[in-house]
Amino acid sequence: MTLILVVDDSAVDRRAAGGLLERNDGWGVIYAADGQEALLQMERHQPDLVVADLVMPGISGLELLRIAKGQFPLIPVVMVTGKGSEETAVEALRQGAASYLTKRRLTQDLAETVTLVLNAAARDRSDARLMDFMTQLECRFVLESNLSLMPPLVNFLQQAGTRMQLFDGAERLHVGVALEEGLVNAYYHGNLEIDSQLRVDDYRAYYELARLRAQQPPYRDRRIYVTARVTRSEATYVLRDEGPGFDPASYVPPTAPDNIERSFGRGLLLMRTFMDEVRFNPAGNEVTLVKRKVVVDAPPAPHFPAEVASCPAVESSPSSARTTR
Amino acid sequence: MPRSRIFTVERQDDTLILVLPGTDITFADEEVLTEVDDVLYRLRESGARNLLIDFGQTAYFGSILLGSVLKFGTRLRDSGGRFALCNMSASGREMLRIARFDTLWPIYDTREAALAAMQQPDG
Repeated sequence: MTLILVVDDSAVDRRAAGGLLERNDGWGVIYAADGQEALLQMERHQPDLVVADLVMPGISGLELLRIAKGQFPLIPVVMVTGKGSEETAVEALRQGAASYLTKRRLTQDLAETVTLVLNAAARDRSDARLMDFMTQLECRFVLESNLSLMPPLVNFLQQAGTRMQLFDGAERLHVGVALEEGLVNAYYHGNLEIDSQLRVDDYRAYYELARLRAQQPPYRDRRIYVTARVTRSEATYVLRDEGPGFDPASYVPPTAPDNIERSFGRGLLLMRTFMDEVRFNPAGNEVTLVKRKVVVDAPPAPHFPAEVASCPAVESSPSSARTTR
Repeated sequence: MPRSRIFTVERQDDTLILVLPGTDITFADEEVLTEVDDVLYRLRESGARNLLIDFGQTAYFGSILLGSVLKFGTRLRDSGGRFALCNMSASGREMLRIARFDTLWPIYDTREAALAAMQQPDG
């Protein structure tokens, strides 16, 4: 039996949607009157799909979606919108809703949309099951100077770690932050050679210079090289730019009392806080970030073959400092 | 003045409330900094004295938003107003702790608690 959770604060709309769904053989329906109850139902019954109203008191549909994507990533959520909330529907899709429907066309579209989403979810579950058997993933990207490529790359690397059960929840967020900071450093301070101080002095000039240099040689021709090796016990990310590098020994973390209000230097601080190891190559244009699996207890060590060899990176100081990161 | 695409600005009495979206703020450095200027402009024009940032359960953010918080806090200190933060996710609170910002400004669990504290007379 396929179980569908219908979430709506309006009892009439709730029953209407449930009635439409129950016409289909093999589909059972459970209900929740608000976001809080929906999360309890999801915890208790692990439904195959959720149909949720976008506008609800308390936890809104969007908030419910956000929490559900974090806690129950394999359960698809279809949002139902009223008149005039198309912009919010687009936001819902951006945040991971599987699809959306308007209340006006619920009768015509609900069953078909749910069928399509259930089929896609079944494929996703098969993929996820296959991933249970993957023990190592290695990949390499050569990125042109284009910031728009970075969010999907970070998302991909986060997913790889999650699928390998290396991290989840807060740890996944931390890895995302560290990778973002590393990539932004490689782009602005590495390949484009723009100093952080300029952003403090005049951020408009900073980004204008970035746009200019992204079109000019030699900056525009530089690439960011990203290598990721993810196993069940450890992820190693190597980010290298083609800029002149920087001197990590010159870095003073902005955490000493006299430095807390300094305007830059927090990117590296976040990287060092959230990763288990952060090291630079001698040229200062390559950073290696290592994240290890947190073992809560000490169960017998699972055996996974062919662990990753450590990256050849050295913590040392190049002779000259370049851009401030 | 451009309409904010990231932040929402509300006002209660003498306090402007800056609400962050309930989504992650990533790779939007320039947009964030532009809107920080926009909020500072509104603060100046509105005559409000205080600023409260409601993090709206933003799951996570990076160094640019930390830098923005610093800019707000410094500006409010210079102008003699009050500055506080509220409604943070566990990860957000951790970010502030790492940056040691929890030693500079008060952090409240809810907006109501923050506003109540900010409306207390100077002691």
